[in-house]
Parts: sequence; C-alpha cells; structure tokens
Amino acid sequence: MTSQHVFSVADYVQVANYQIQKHHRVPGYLKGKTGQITAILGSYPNPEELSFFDAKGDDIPVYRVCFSYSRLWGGKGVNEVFADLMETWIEPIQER
Amino acid sequence: MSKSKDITPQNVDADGNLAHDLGGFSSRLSLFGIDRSIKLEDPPKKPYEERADAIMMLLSNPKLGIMNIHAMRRASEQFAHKEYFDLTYYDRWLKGMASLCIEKEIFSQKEWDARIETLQIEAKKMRARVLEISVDKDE
Repeated sequence: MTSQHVFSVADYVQVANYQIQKHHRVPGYLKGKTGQITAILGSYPNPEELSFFDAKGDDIPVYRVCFSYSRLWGGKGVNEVFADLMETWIEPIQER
Repeated sequence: MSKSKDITPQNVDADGNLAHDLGGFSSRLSLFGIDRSIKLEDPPKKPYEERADAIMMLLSNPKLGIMNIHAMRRASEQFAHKEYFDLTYYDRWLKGMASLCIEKEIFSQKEWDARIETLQIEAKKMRARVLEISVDKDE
C-alpha cells in the first residue's frame, strides 16, 4: 500500500492552489499553504469523481497533514491544524 | 440548473471559494451575517424535514444510481452565496436533490417548475379556505 504513495511521513508539502470551480474536497483556507505529513491513511476512491456518480472513482492516497495555526492565521499560537488530504491536492516543496 | 458539470463562476467569491467553504475566515461569516456561536441543543425536526430525510434515504439506494453522499454534497454546495445562506439546511438538501433528479432526467426542469406552480396555487386556495373558516367561527 505504502509504495503507491508519492510522499512519506515527515515530508513537508504544499497544498495545491487551484481556483477550481467544481466540487472539490479541500478547504479554501489551506490552499497554497505548507504543512508536514504526519500519517499515511491508505487509498480511497476519489469522492470528487464519485460526486458525478457515473465515474467509478480512482483510488487516491490520503495523507494527514499538519499545519501550524500561526502560519495559517498569524499570531503567536502554538496550536496545530490537521487535515486529511488527497494526494491530488498535494505538491512537493523545496524550502520550508 | 445547468447540466454543465462546472459550477458557474458567479457562484465563486473574490477568493475563489464556493459558498459552503466558510472555514478559517471569521470575516466571511460576518459578511453573510452568520452567527458564530455554537448551539449545542438539537432543534426538533419539522415534519417536512423528516420527509426530506426520508426522500434522501429512498433516492440513495445504490440500485437506483440517482444519488450518493458525494453527489449530494456537490448538489447542495452549488448555490450562489446569497441563495446558499438564505436556504436552511434541509432546504439545501431538497433543492440539491431536485437538481440531481433533473440532472439524472428523473423529471425535467419544466415538470419541476410546473409542479411548484400547482402546489403554490393549491396552498393559496387552502389558505383562503382556512381564513374563510376562521371568519365563519367569529360570526
């Protein structure tokens, strides 16, 4: 299962910033933001495709990604935000 | 509703977000007058909301292929911001289900509009009748 995944735990990644206007499963406030993968959650049929119910839905790896609260909204808070995101929405980054 | 799979651009706000995508920005909540407090009590369902729930269950039968949870989410997230916030939770369900039925050609937009018109006329007559009865009682 793990071999199908492009990313690994501890990788720093960026959420894609597509201005996509059809049904999609990533919250607007995470688009373009940088986070760190904390878990690989397996692969699931793509709900974005299933929502058009003629499609079977490709299996897409899903990751739990940790974001710093202060990097999302500023301030000095130390809280973290976790989001389960599909690989189709995740891009590699070079710098943190 | 358009049969196009893409949501029309006027449904997207300046940040490129659809109406349901409210998370993370309190300014967006206040822009639409949304109460930020969380009410912990569960309001009782109105009879028509129970029926909306039942219709949803029936249409979700996988053998029918009319609806699934993902299609339902897509359908109830498609509305323009003003319309989205004017509708209640179950109203979004009902409008979403209707648009999916139209998309799947269970009935046409024309049939749907005609049915609504018929029901509105019936409701008007019923209201007039109720008024008549209450006037009779007063006399």
